[in-house]
Amino acid sequence: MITLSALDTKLMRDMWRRRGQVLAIALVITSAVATLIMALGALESLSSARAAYYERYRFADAFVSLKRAPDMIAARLRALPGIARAEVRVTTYATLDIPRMRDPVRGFAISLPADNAAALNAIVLRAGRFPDPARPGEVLVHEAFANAHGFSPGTTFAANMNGRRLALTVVGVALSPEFIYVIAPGEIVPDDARYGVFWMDRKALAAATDTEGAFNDVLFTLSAGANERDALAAIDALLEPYGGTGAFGRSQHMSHSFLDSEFGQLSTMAGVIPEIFLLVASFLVYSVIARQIETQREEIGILKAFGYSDSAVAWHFIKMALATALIGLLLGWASGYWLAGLITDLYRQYFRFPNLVLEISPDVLALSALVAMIAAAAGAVVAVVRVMKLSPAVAMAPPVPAIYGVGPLERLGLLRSIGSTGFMILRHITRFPLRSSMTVTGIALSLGLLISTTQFFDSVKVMIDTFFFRAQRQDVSITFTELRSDAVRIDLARLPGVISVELRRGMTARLTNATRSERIYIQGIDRNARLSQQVDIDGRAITLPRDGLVLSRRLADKLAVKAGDTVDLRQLEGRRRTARVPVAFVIDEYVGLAAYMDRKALNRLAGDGPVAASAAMKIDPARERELFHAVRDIPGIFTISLQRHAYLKFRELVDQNIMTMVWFYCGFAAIIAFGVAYNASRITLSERSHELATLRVLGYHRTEVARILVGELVLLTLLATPLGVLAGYGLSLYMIERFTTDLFQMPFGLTAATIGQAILVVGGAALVSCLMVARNVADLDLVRVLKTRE
Amino acid sequence: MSMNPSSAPPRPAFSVRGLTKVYGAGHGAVHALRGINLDLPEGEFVVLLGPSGSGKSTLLNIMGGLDRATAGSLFFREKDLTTSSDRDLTAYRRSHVGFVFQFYNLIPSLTARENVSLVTELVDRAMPPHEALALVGLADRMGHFPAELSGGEQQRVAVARAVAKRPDVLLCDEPTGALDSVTGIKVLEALSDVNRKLGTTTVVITHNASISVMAHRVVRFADGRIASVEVNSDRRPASEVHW
Repeated sequence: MITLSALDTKLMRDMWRRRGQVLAIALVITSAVATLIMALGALESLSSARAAYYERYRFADAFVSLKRAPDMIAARLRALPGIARAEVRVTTYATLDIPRMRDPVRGFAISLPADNAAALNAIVLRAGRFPDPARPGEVLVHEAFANAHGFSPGTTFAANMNGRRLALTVVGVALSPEFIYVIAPGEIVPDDARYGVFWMDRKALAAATDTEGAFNDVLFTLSAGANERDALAAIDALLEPYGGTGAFGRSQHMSHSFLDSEFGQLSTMAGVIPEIFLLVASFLVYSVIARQIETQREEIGILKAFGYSDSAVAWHFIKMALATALIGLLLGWASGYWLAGLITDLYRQYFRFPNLVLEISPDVLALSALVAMIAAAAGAVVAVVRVMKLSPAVAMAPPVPAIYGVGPLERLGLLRSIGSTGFMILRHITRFPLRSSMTVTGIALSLGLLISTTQFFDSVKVMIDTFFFRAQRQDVSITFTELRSDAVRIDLARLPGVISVELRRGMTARLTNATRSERIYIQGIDRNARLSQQVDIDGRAITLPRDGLVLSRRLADKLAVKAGDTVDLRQLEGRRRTARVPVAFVIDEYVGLAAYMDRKALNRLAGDGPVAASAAMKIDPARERELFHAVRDIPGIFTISLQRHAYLKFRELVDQNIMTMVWFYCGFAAIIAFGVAYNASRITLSERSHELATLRVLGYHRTEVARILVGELVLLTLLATPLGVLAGYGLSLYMIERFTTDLFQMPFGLTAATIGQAILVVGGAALVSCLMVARNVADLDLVRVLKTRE
Repeated sequence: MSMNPSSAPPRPAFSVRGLTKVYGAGHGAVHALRGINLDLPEGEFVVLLGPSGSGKSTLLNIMGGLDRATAGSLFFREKDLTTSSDRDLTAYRRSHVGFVFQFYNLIPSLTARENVSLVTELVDRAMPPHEALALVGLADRMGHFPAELSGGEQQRVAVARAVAKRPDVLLCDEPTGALDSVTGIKVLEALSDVNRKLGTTTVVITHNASISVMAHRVVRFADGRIASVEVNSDRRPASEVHW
């Protein structure tokens, strides 16, 4: 049996007596540990799953697409400096006819490697078998696509590529490290039902796309120590005559960079949110221990008089803080593990790994333990400094009575109407400025945390509004297999249900300013376009200039250019022209890296006549089906997609992910507010029990006395509110900034409604905790107060 | 209406019958009051004497509506306090009772005037706080906080606070217990002034037998019972009290 020392027994009993406060602090620490474990656990699990996946299935280091190059060029690619391996393949987009699916479906076909066991971006077979080269119609489909349609080996579907219709049979279901995140080009959210990746025999694919004896896509691994920039430049130089569209590294690979941005968000979460909780926990520990010391002055004096050293007494109080942190830590580990499991499940829906398991390393556990203990100990140490200084004789004497004074507001006579109890509240707050400001800070931080996390909702609303209702107002987008003359507009307008048509073209190009260079897809849009408008982050519609480029802020920053500067543009397709192009202006918008140009100007620059690569259309929704049917049979139309689907998918994603997270954050913020308010009220009750009992004796009703407790907290909460809103505003800006990647920039859209809701949640939590404490007014001992000196 | 106990047949402010108070149960039970009977007329200055644990404080607490009896009855005028609800007792304290405590129980964050306002804000017919403070000779110390006042001054503020609402009864638990004799006598003078000028029934608990010379009535307690009740025919002013 363990025997506790007398001091430890005292510790246990003290903690039990203050169990409400101990639990409130422990819960704040729990929240810190839980968010840390959740964010770092998910981050570690995802990043180690990705690293293992990349390694085992040989994810390439660099990628390039080109028009067409003969197979013999492959050997020259392999011989380039810095290149360790180069594997050529054939890829193509297709429109698919899926049984029972009436909406248009896009597909991306990839040729199977000759030897999958050694290939780059190797395929992970999940069900069925690899296609038989002797049977050209056999394909492997990506698991995400297979799941969305319930495909299994034996299912058949048709693909239209290059104007040919192929009947295909699914023989297996697969994954690949290049498609952890599967998203169609130009889309902002994955839609597994309407975009699918599939693999088929190279010969069959080459036959369908007229690339026999040639390739149009290459995967590379770089030699150890190779400079990526130089290697990419060498590839581009070699492939230029073959229509190379610019080689890029992993950082520009869609699936890879999307995961990177997710990792960035998780590490931001781990870097900001737990710290707020821990700061508040330190405050709470400080105030509770300081009060504990105050009420135990005499006992401390006696302990010291008996010969306990200063440090032994100090350690006693620090141990109380550490024991509280330990409770929080254990609860935090458990709830963090649970939350990390939930978030990993969410990730499994979007990130396709062969095996994503939640792993929480001992390092993460140790880190969380360390920070929790440091936060608690820091609060306690500040509080016990006074114990160390207290001599036994002074400690045993009654404390010097608190000296109150009249504040400047009162001297001006501004507060006469608040009554005596009003003064009691006010002077108590000003008498203990440190503690009052800690309470204010704690509540403000909880409010700030809630505002800065729920504002992502506002952000997304702005994004949806801007993207779908202002910037991209078309109902249908169509892409052509190759550039078409503007006359195509007439053909499209004749299709059933089409109300208006706008043509577009794009161009893959490399923009260079001195040593800085970016490969980018320039979007060419008509200046007077109505369906698609460029809308900046403040919601202003931008009219494209007649000449020159419009760059997104992030791209302009990367290239270190501003409006009025010029950049070198090198076309990475078609005639491969180069030009020096002025930057007309820079816009702040939600897409990370983007460039725009008037379509006419872009056509001129490319040396083409009036041509288009895609079209945006407004249609009569009632004739949607008819239109799809008509489009299927028109050669030269590559893909057709419905804006409505993207919108619904986006909403689905938002509702699922963000809503879940918002609930967590509301809970966490409420825990902070509750903990802070509960402790503040408890301490006030303990400090003022004598006064409050006196008021009861003097004939004050319970509710009148409770009003003093509640009034103090309400006042502190009112003080905390503007600070919390400011903190929330600042934290929101910081988080938005940190969440910005090359892929997208989040708009700042914090609304009064979000602030109001946060105030309600935090204020509500504070009030509830305070009312819980105020119930104790009923238990005040009225008789004792007559007989004892405070 | 002035109530002079010596000239009119006094009606009891408090009427106590068979009042019993037991703390705890079984072997550990403490009998604080063992069925006492007592009538205290309106307007009297009553001193309760007796050693610690004799039951005088228990009686005062029940009279003040702070504690409940185990058995018996205690009437304040027509109201039986032993059967009143908690809310009724608070209302009773609020409108009828003034308390003076041994350790003053002033609110440290309020000035003398504000401590008095604390009770005058509760009732309608209260005196203005400065008038109550003038009554105890502290008109010039109204803006001071308790920590800036001497013990005697603090206790006089407490007396002012107790009387400012013109209570029907003034209950004082060892009002001079923490004071030296010179300041103690000032407090007793204040109490006796209030009793005389306002006709407030005043009950004072004390260990200090010398105070009994200024009382209309002296009730001695011993072991939870009333040992004796003396009516004082020859009352002396507070200034003649010595200890």
